[in-house]
Amino acid sequence: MSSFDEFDPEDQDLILALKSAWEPGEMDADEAEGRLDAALFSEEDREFQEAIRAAWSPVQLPPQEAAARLDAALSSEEDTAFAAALQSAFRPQDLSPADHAELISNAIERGTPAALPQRSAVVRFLPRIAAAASAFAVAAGVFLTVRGAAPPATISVASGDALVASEALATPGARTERVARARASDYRENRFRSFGLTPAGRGASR
Amino acid sequence: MSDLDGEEALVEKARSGDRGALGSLLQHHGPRLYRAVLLPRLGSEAAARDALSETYAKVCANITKFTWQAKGFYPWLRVIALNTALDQLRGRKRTLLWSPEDVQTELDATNTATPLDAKLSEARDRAAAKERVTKALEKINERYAMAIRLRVLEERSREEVAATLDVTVATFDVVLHRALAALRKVLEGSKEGGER
Repeated sequence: MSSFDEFDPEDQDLILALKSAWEPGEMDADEAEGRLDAALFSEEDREFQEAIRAAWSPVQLPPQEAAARLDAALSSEEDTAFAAALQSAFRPQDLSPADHAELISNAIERGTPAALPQRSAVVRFLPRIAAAASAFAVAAGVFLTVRGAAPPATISVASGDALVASEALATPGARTERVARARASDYRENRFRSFGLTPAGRGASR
Repeated sequence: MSDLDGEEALVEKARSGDRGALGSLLQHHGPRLYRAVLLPRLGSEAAARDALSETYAKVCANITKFTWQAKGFYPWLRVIALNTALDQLRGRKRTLLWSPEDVQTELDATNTATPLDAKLSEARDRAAAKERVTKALEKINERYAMAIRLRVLEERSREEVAATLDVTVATFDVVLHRALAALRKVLEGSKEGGER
């Protein structure tokens, strides 16, 4: 595009705008490339390109450094991971048999106890407990048989019946009658007291 | 393992705690899980290997819960592997070809679709992965797509691809870098737009 130096700077802007709209010219190739780069590429891209250029321009950089920069540029972690993901989806590679065998053996070593039928501790030990109980019962039976008849067991007496039970000669019928009489007497006496009366012959001490 | 009957017998043994039987099942199906399910979705060998290991651990822990089905053991393994991949993808800041939502959709489909046998399932998974890549490449500049296809997918040498594209090797490196950037942008855009 022509230069319009003879115009004032303010007018130049307007003229260039008009000229560009009416008859847009070709941009200088280098400038075009520079602007395109600026528009299309991020800072990261420019660094990448710089690395490529530097690597291919041994005049600017010693060859080793250039090679290192190229490697760094080409081994962009992000690109490598992305390329691997694409390959994995498009043409996945098999796991090596050795790696696979190791994975299986690790999983089984760690996981097999859980893979066994799950039974609680009580259920698992139930057969042993039953066997032990049976053995004990048999042993006790044999012991009692060998030892002979057991002595008569002493009858325990409830405290409420101790008074009556201590009377060895009293028959069950007489004891029952006596207890019933005593309780009926207590019942009457309590009723009298609730009426404010004192039964005759009992005295105030009761 | 020649047929499903043999596999069923192995599964029964594995369920009763037979390590050898469980190992045989994993040995048989593991490579397929790795190449058809895990590696394409996770995108790196290391991640896929970790996921396979985790899948195996889950299988060992839950083998007693497995109920035999007509299509065999593989559909169950695939669901476990997909769940494992889903967990990994959810933990990532950036995803590329598969997002967690994509895998979740696949998992949902397994609940309603008729299970496939192992070979057919693998064929479908691999075809779907290729289609996903192809569709993404269709969305970028043809020259960029060719650079990626030849160098990355077909693994031709830089020199050969540069010659095919009629550029120097140095220029090709730049082109490839830009191509990858463009593809990444397309993929990220399609994720944001909810389409793939």
